[in-house]
Amino acid sequence: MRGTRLPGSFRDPAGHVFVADGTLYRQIEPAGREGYDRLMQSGLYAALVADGLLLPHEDLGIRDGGSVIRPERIPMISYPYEWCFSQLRDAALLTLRVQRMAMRFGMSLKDASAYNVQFRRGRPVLIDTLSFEQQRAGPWLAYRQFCQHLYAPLLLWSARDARLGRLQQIFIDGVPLALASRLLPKRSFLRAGPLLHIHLHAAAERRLADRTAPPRNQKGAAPRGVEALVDSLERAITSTRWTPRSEWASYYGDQPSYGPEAFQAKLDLVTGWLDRLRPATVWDLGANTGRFSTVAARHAAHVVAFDADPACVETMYREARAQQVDRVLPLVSDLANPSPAIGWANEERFTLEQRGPADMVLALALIHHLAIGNNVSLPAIAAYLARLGRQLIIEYVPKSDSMVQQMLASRPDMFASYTSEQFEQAFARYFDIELRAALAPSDRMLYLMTARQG
Amino acid sequence: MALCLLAERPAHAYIDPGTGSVIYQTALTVILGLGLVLRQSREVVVRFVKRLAGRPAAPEQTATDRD
Repeated sequence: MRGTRLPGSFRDPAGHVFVADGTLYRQIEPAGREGYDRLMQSGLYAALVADGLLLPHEDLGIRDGGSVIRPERIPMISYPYEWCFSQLRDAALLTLRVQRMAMRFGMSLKDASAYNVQFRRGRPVLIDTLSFEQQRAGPWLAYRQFCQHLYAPLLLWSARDARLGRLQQIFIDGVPLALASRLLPKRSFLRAGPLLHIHLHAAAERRLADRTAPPRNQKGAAPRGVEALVDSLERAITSTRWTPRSEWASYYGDQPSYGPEAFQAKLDLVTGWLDRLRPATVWDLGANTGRFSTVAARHAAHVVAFDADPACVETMYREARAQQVDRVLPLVSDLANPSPAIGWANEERFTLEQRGPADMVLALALIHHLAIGNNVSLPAIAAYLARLGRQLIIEYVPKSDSMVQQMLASRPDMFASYTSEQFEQAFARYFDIELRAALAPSDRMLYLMTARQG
Repeated sequence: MALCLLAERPAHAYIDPGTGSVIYQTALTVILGLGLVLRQSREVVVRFVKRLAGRPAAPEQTATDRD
C-alpha cells in the first residue's frame, strides 16, 4: 500500500506503521505473520479487546502485496515523559495484565516498551498488535525493558521527585537500571520491589554482563516462573504511592484572585463560544485543575489538558478516572519547554506542534506566566500559539492584576512592552481577532481569534 | 529476495534483553517460585492446624495473595 512509513517505526521485523491519506496503518511482514495469526485465532485478540486492553483494528487483507491492518485512531499520541504518576502506574499495570492474559492463551509479549501504550478514552491501552509471540519455556525477555520503561520511572517519581518523570525524555529505552539504582534512596533497599527488580537486577546486569546466557529454551525456567515474576512485578507496582501537593492546585471553594463575577463572566463566554464553534479537538494550555477542560469536553470531541505541574495533572487524571470522563486527556507539558523530537535522527517521537494543530487552543490565565514569568515576548507567544491551533481563546491579564503584581513584587519591572495595545498588535500579526470581551469588574480581557494561514 | 523472506525464521524478541538480566531472571524466578511454594505450604499447614484445633477453616487463599 502506498504511504509514508513513520520514521520511528523500524525496530521490529514483524512489521511497521505507515500513514496513507492521513490514516495510520500497520503492515505485517512475513516474519510477523505467525504471531499475528496466533493472536487472532487463539482467541487472545477477542479476549483482550473485550476487556479494553488492546487497540482494536480492522484487517484489510493483502494490499499491494503486503498484509495490512488499520488500527482504531488514537486522537492524541502521548509519551511516558508526559504522563503523570497514575498514568505511568496504570500503563505498567496494563502491560502486566496483558502479559497475564497472553500467557493464558499460550502467548507472551515480545517487548514491554512504554511506547506500546497509549491513552484511549481516558484509559491506557496496548497499541502494538504485533507485540505477541508464542510463549516458549525460558525467561521473559521483555523483563528488563519493563523495569526500565515502566517501573523505574514510577519509583523515581514516588520515592525521589515528581520532576524525574521527564527523565525518559533523555533515555530513549527507559531509565537505565544502574542509574535508577543510584538515584533511589537507601531505604528503597528494604522494600522487595525496588530491591529485586532494580537494585539486585542492576547489580546482576553489571556483574554478569560478560557471561554467556543459558540456552533460551532451557527446561529449568518454565512458564510458571514468568507467572511468578509477573505477580511479583504487579505487587511492586501496586505498592507504589504518591500524593500530589502543589502550590498551583487550588481546590473547589477557593476564590479566584480576580473575583467571582469576572470568573463567572469568563465561564459564560468560554461556554458560549465553544458551544457555537463546536471544535473537534481542544488543547487547554495551563489547564491547572481542568475546570475549563471540563467545559470544553461538553462541546468538543476530544480535549487535551496540559499543565507544567505534575501534581495538577495527577489531580486531573484521578478525577477523570473516578468520574469516568473519557474525553479529556491530561498531560504534563511546560509550554516554555515543550516535548522535543527525540530518538534516532530526532524523528522517533514527535514535538507538541507536530501532533497538532488543534482546532481550538485555550490560553486562559496563561499569558502573564509566559510573558512575565518566562520573559517571552508577546510576538513570540503569538507566533507559537498560531502554530498550535487553528483558533484561540486567550485571556489577557494586565499588569494591574494582583497575580502579576505578585510576580513583579521582587523584581524590576522591565516589561514596558506588556500592555493591552501591544498585546493586540502582536496577536493581530498572526491572528484575526474575531471577538473581545471585558471580564468585569476585573481588568482582564477575553479574546476569540482565528489563526491566519501562511 | 522473496525466497529469503520465506526462509526467514519468524521474528521473536527483537529487543536486547540483556545477558546479565536474563541470567538474573532465571535465578530470581527460582527464588520467587520457592517463595510461592513456601506461602502455599504455610497455608496448608495453617488450615490443617486450625481444623485440628476445632476452629472453622479459613477460605482457601489464591496464589496471588499478597504477603
